[in-house]
Amino acid sequence: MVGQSKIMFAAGLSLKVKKQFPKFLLDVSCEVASSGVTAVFGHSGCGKTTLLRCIAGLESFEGRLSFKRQVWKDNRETVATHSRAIGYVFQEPSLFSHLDVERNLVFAEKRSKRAAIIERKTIIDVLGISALLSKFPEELSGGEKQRVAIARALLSAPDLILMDEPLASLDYHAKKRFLRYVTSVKKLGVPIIYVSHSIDEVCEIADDIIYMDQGQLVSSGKLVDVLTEPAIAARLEEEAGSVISGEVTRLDDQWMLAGIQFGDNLLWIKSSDLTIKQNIRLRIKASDVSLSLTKTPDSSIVNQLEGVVDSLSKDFHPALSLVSIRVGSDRMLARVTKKSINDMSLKMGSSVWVNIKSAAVVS
Amino acid sequence: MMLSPDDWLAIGLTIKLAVTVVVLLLLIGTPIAWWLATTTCRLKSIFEALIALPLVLPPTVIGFYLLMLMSPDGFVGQVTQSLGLGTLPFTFSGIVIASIFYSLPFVVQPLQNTFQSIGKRPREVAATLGASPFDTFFSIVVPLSKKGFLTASILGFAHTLGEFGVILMVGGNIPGATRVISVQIYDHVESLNYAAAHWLSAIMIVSAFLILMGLSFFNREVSVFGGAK
Repeated sequence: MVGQSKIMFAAGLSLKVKKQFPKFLLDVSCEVASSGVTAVFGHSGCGKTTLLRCIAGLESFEGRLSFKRQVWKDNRETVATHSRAIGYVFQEPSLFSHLDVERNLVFAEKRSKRAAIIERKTIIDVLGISALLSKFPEELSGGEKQRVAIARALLSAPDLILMDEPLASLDYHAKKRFLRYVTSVKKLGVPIIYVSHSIDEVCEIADDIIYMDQGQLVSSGKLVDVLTEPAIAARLEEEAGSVISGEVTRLDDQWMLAGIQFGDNLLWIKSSDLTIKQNIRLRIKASDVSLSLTKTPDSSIVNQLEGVVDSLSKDFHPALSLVSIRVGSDRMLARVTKKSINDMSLKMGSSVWVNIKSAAVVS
Repeated sequence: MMLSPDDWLAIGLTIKLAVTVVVLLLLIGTPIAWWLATTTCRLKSIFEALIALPLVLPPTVIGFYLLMLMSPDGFVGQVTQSLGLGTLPFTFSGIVIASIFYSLPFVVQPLQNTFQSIGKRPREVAATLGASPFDTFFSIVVPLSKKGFLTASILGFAHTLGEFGVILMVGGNIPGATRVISVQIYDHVESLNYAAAHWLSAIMIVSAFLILMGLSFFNREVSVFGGAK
């Protein structure tokens, strides 16, 4: 998979990591984009955290690692963690307990190797921590601590931020709020590598994904592409689906619906808190999509879009099949029975109507 | 006051010895404790056992071998002689060195425990924020280990105050040079001067009690504020 063309695109992080554990081999080679959020996704224990620690230099390994034009590790030398321009947000909040929030931030600022790319005030505002500056870590909630930890990482003026499941210690509502902060940080322009075992989190914030299983790379690339790869979708079982980005172009006050424009298509969803021109991301699960050969006006389904079958592939259950459908320039997945495929004589290139039962706004 | 000039001399010498030993032990013990707390080296157990030996050995055994080493024919003695320093037995420097060996576990162990309880996470965080290992040690590890340093200093000090066997073996009984309080008490008892022995012994008991009570009080204070952990 890694050809010459891929190496040319080594503008971001280029890694080839191999590390043998007693019962486990971590072996991942891939390229990470130099902007946006790249999720390292996989089940617990698949080596995601170890991979992140290797990138940070907190773990030794065989292989090479370079970021932009800096070589962080090759056969000859290894750049120490403190000399890499990274920020790291650990799974559990790891503020220095003997320093208040302000001095935790100053610790990072004083040691940054270059002038701040983002102003201190901006960082404090974006993460909403201005009221916390004089407090000590033990006085903060889990979510507050993690926000301070992100601010601290940003203040060290990193070229790359690594986040290791920073939401793990937070409750549901704190998670939701916190993800919005991560999205704001993303807009500040520093690339983020984000480790997570939650596909919901990944769908909400990631642009790219590194999908791992048992220490090995399963797939990597654009989130929208990887999610609709048949093999990946089959692995995700009930979580399989596609992610669509669009813009709110219409609000229907009578029926409380919002029209989301993506490509040439319009998708209606519940209009909660949406405003015109807002860019949003929708997740459409494969199990919420059904197919028909004709438009069915007598159905309760609001969203019926025309598409063309792109591929048919096996699913996690022998009775089921995953159908990938091209809708305009986007791709959607439908989980249908093999019987239906047979009855409808679906094959590659068949024109179908895609009936979308529900779509969730993820960000 | 029933204390003789000789008693005062012994008290002064004892305090000078304990302070010197604690300062040197912090300098020597900190890197040892740090190494023991952070290494994955298999030889760690050997070093831990070596450092803990004074806890279980009779002081006379340690004193005996130190005397052998420091004597004019011993290895250390030959080195000190060739450096023009003479020999160490029966000198203040001699008992300082002997005390360092004897009190080493009392300083190394509390420090090692503190370093271990801090764990590697704060160091990793500091490294990712651009702090070198040296910087991290002084700006993160030392402030987080305040309690451990204080405990180590107090135990090292108190233990050195209470030494007898090692000092008698290595230092003998020279006023102003090696005759510390414990040796002075021994002298008083030998010469049946029980009243003088009482005075010095009582001072020892009270000071040891106050030191240990202070240590206990301090440890409670720290845990109440939840810092230093």
